[in-house]
Amino acid sequence: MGTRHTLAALLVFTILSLLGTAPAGATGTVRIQQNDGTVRNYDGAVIRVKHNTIRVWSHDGKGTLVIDRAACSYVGELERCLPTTFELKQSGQTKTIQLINGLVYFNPTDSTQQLTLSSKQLPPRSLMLMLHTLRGTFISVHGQIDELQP
Amino acid sequence: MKSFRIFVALVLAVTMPLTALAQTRPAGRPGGSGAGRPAPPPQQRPAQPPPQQRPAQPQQRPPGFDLSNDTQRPAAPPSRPSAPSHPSTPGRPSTPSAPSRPPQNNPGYRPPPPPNNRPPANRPPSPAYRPPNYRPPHPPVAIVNPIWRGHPAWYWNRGVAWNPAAAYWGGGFWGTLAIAAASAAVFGYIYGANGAQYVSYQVMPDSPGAILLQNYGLTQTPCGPDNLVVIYGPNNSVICAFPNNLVAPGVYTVDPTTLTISSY
Repeated sequence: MGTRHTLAALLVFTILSLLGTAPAGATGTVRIQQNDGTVRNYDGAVIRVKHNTIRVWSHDGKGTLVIDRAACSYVGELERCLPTTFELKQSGQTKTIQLINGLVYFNPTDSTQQLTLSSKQLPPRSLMLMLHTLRGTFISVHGQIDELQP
Repeated sequence: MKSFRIFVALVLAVTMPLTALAQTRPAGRPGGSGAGRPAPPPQQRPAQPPPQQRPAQPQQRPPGFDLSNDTQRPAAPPSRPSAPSHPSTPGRPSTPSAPSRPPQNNPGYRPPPPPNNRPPANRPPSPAYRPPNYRPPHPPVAIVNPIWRGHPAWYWNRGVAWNPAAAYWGGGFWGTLAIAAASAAVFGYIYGANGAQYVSYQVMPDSPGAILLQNYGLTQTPCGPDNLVVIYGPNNSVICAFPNNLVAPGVYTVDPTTLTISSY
């Protein structure tokens, strides 16, 4: 009797896994402020970091922001980097967007970290990214990193 | 048998909501395609709200990210007056907008002078580490970093290699100041043997350069006066500091791997 219940529970669990559940993570938010002041937020973005490249997928999967980073150093427990290139992959095209400057903060730890000289806190295993393009657009990305390959 | 019935009930309880969820996604399909699930009659559907009652959202939201402002070609600039009505005055302030110069790692690229009243910042075009035409009077002497003495390369950065970012002053070694940024705290100038001008800026806290200064007990000061510690960093950057008992006045370069300075 007990064995049958255990087997039933295991089978239910297996079926649940096969049917799939909601994607883990995807808590990123992208905020784009145009030079005319209009602001648009994109929730549910997926953030993945592989070596020196950050990729941010839109919730609908139609657009990808690709940012390369360099000059990484540590500020306390946070890792701070500078973006070097910025691309938008969308509608089958890859377009390079020129930057004026930017900043990337990583929190690779399992605890919340506070930025220096700021009240801003970064949750565990998350990033905060800020870009300023040549056309005057401000782009910020913040959220938990869904996949990290150092 | 009883346990089998419980098992079947559990499976049905789990699969039925998921099946219903999959069926409701294609909203345009009338009736759906699931077995045993009647389609709602069209008459029962609520009338479409009038246009003015719809929430204020863009009619056609582009897929992905809307960066059309950055990816599309700019419109033709308006025609400017060919000649001013009054004589042009030097040093007339222009709009403090960001200069339209790409921050690319192009050794041959020479940005125009910034639109302000400061002396022009003639940054050297070549990414040479040392100032040109400089001949050291003696072999270089390294002053080992007193904090990171004996440690392996990049130990100061937790073993992570630091690579310069070309679009930033000093590759980002002295801070996050972008080369294309119009405003910055200028900390004097250094003139090379060929008369080239090297602009110095204020070192930002928590930068690798700030760590280096702290390790050697150096305090940054604007370049220009004599008898200073002149340190050349990555990407032709330069800063100056007051000398101390560890570092005498002179010209030095930085080894980012160990945060060690070496005299010329």
